[in-house]
Amino acid sequence: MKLSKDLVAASARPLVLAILARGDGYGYAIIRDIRALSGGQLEWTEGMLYPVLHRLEQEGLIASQWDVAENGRKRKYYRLKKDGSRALAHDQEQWGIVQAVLQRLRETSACAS
Amino acid sequence: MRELTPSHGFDLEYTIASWRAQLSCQQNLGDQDVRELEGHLRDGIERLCSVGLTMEEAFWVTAKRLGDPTALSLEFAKVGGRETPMKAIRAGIGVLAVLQIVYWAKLIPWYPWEFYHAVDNLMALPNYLFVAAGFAGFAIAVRPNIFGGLRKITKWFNFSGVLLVLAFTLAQRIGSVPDRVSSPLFVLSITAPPFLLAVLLAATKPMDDNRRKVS
Repeated sequence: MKLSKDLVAASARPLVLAILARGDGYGYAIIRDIRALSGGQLEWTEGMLYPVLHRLEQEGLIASQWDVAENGRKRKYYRLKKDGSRALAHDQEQWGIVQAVLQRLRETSACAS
Repeated sequence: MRELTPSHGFDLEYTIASWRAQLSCQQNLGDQDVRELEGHLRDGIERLCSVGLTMEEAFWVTAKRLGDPTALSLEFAKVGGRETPMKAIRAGIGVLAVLQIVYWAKLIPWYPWEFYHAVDNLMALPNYLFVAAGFAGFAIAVRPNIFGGLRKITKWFNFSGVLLVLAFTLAQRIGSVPDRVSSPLFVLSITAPPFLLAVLLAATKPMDDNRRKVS
């Protein structure tokens, strides 16, 4: 299933931050992890991840560094900064609220019918 | 991992080069952006080849997944726009460096003395200009991320170059080169302190180069 454009845009930040919270990463690996974790349900236009990463970096939530990868090529690695962890906690809380409301509504509509 | 399977009549490097050229044409994509996307493309091709696709198939699938260059460029445009302060500060440091080279060139025995007063007038710029350039340079040197867009200056030689310019500027503002210099020892004694100062600064404020390495 392909998420709507708006939902992709809104969820990109917490998803990327949460992936980086597990350890440093680079673009291709982040996309791969998100795809694997969603069981292939979350499909992004992969190139769109990079503007997201760059924006998060500008906001001071993550930092980047070019490094030589194990295959000898240069690769840009990203890591979570302290502000990024805080932003992630904040996002998770907000998504939790939305999720809880949806859940409650589903339960009440199930009761009503 | 399996070797990349060559497909008949398909030149991967050539195809990647033309793909890259197409990206480079996009005005919102910088060199580093293109390099990063190319890394992604190559990772994707490697991955797909390892599960049995030919190189040509792997290329097209990965390129398609990455997205249309024009659409990508539009997305990147929303992030850009922070390049200007970096360019301005870099230009400032560059000008400062040239001024310093011109000034310290006085120490060369065959210095053309016609320039002497012209250079001295140039150096009589108000102190605060030098201080401002100095602070900007130091900010770049120790915190490349300070203005977001400055992140591109991360290389060691940029750092040491900025430190050297600053150290020589500092030395120039504190002391001054006498009219005539002949003794090599004197030249050494007046040029060495800025280098030492730069080394000292570099040692006490090292770049954050040894971050956690990842696989």
